[in-house]
Amino acid sequence: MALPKRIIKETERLLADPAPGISAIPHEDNLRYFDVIIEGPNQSPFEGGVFKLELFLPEDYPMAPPKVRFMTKIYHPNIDKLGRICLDILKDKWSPALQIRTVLLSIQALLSSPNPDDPLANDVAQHWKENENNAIQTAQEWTRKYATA
Amino acid sequence: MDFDITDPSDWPKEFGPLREIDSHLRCPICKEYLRAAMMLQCHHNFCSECIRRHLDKESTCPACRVSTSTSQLRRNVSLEEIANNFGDVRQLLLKTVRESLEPKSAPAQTLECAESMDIDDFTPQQKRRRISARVGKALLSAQRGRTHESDDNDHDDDFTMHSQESSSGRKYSTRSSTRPVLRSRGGRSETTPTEQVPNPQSASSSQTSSYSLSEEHTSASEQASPTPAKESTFKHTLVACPVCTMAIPEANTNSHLDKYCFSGKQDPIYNVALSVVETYSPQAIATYEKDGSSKSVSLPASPQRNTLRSAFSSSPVRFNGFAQQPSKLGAQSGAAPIPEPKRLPKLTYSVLNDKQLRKKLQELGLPTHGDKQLMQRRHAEYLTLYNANCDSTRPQTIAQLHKAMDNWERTYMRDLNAKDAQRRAQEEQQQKYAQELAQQKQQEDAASTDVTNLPSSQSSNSGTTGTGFVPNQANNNDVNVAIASQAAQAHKLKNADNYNDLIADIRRRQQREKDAKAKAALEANDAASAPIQPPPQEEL
Ligand SMILES: [Zn+2]
Ligand SMILES: [Zn+2]
Ligand SMILES: [Zn+2]
Repeated sequence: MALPKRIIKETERLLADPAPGISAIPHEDNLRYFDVIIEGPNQSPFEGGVFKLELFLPEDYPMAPPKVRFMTKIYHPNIDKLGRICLDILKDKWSPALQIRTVLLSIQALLSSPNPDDPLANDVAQHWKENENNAIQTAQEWTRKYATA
Repeated sequence: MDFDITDPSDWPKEFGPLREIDSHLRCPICKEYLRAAMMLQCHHNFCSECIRRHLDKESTCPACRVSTSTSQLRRNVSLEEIANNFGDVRQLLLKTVRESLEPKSAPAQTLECAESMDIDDFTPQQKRRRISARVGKALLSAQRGRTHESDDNDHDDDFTMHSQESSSGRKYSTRSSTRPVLRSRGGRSETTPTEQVPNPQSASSSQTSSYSLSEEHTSASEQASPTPAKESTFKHTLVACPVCTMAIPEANTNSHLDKYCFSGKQDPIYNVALSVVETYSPQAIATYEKDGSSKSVSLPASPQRNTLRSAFSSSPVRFNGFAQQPSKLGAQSGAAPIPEPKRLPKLTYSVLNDKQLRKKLQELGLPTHGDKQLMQRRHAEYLTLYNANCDSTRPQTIAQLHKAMDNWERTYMRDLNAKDAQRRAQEEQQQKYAQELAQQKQQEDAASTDVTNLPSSQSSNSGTTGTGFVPNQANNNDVNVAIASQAAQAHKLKNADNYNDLIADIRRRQQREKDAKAKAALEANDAASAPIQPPPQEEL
C-alpha cells in the first residue's frame, strides 16, 4: 500500500515541529511504525522520566485510531502492565480529525492527571484511591528506576 | 501533481493569515484542500468522499462528535470553489510571497531565483533541515513513489537543501550567496503554469480546426426549446485559455496566446467561454473526448448548467493553471437553484442474494466476479465515489470513476493476498516456536545440573516486582529462542498488518531479558560463587 499523503504530511510536521517534550520518529523500513518518547510532565509523579512508547498506524488510519503502547514500565492507574493505555480517543472516542500529535499530547496530559476512576490497572487504581500520596511515591520510584537513562 | 505535499506551515510566518486561510480550506480528515466540500448541521466541513466514508462507519461529526448522518450533508459550493481556486493559485502565490520576503538582490541573482523556483514544490528549508537525513529520504521516496517511479539512484540529491548555514557534511551549492537553493533535477518544474501550455509541435497539426459557436449561445441559458443545432468541429481537448479564459483546443493554446492574448487582442475564432462549452450536451463533449479527432458533433442549444454535473458529462477541461474557469463561478452565482444530481441509493445488502447483487453491479457497469463480500464492498466503494462525485463542482467522468474502481480492485486483491500470506506465516511461526521450545526443553533436561541456579534468580526477579510486562514463565533460553524466531518471522512480515504486535512482543521480551541479565550480573557480583550465566544463544 502506498503511504497516504496525510501520513507523510503528519510525519513531516512531527519531525519539523515536534510538540514540547514529545518525539516521534518513524522506522525507516516501515513508515507506519513510530518510536515515541514522552518526557514526564513537570509537577507530575513522572517528572524527570523519559518514557518510550510505540505507535502504529493501521491500514485504515485515519478512519481507525493509531495503536499506542508504553514500552517503559510506568505506575499509572490508566496504563496496564502491558503498557496499554486507557484513553477514550484511542478507542470509541477516536475521530479521523484527530492526529498523531493530538494523541501524543493527550497521553502526555494523562500523565499529568491520572484518573483512578476509569482504571485499566485495577490494583494501581485501588492504590491511588486509597492512599494517593503513597501511590504517587511509588510512581516516582518507578520513574527513577525504569524511566531514567 | 499528486506529488505535492502541501501544508499550511508552508506559508512564511510573516503571512500568518494565509496559514489560517490555508488550514481552513483543508478537510479535517484528509488534510487536503476540500474536494466537494460538504457541511454538516454543526457547520463543520469535509470532503464529500471523506465524510461519506466516515459516516459509513460512524454517525458523528469527526470535528465535534455531534450525531449526524449522510442525510444531513449539504454542499458548500462557495467554500469548494474557494478551496479549488486557492489550490490553483497556491504555488504562484507562495512563490510571490516568498520572493517578497527576500532581500532585494542584484539582477544576476534574480536569474538564480528563477532557475531555482522548484523550491515551491517543497517545504521551507528550516523544516526540511531538521528532518534526519535517512528518514527524510525514506519519506521523500514514499511521497515520490506515489506518482513517479524512482528513475535514478541519486534522488536524495534531487531534494537536498543546500544551504550555507547547513552544518552537515554535505557539499553546498555555491550558486547563490544570499539564500538557500534547492537543487532539483534539471528544470523539472512540472507544476509551474507555463508548463501547462502544450508543446508547440502539436500546435500546427490542428490549425485548421474551426470552432463556430456564435455569441447567442453565451446567453442561451434561458432558452428552453432546442434550436437547430450548430455544427462544430472539435479537435482534441478544450481548455480554458489561461489569459482570456475562452475555450480553445488544447493544441492551439500557443498560437492563440502568441497571436492574441499576449498582444491584448481578442481572438475572433475562440470567443466562447469554456464554462459555456462545458454546459453543452454531455454527448457532444463525450464524443470528441472519446475519439479526440476532428469530428462533427452537434450541440443542442439549450445548455443547462447542471447537465454537466448530473451526467458527469466531462471535464476534459481541467486546466491546471491559475485561471480556472473564473466565469463559471460568475455563471453560478445569481442563477436559479441548482437541482441536486441524482445520487445512488444505499442497498440493504443483507436482503440481496448473490444474483441480485451481481445484477446491481452489472447495471452500474462494474465487475461482477467474486463472492458476495467482495461484490458488496465493491458496490459500497463505488457508491461512495459516485455520490461524492455528485457533490463536486469539478466532477470526474464515469470513465475516471471506473478507473478509480480498477485501482481499488487491485489494492483490495493485494491486501487480501497479503493477509492470507500473513496468516499462513503466523501459523508456521507458532508451530516452529512450539518445536523449538520442545527442543530446548530436551537440551536443558540433559544439562540440567549446570543451570539449576538460574531459574531461582529468575523467579526472584519476577516475583519481587511482580510487574513484568509479560508473565514470566519461560527461562532465559526460552526467551532467546523466542526472540530469535520471532525476529526472523517479523522480518518476513515487515509489511504485514500486525507487524507492530510482533515487534511489541520482541521488545518486551528483550526488555525482560535485559532486566534479567542485569539482575543476574548483580547477583554474580554479590555472591562470587554463583554460576555465571551462559551467554545468550544466537539461534538465527
Ligand atoms: Zn478530505
Ligand atoms: Zn461538527
Ligand atoms: Zn486567450
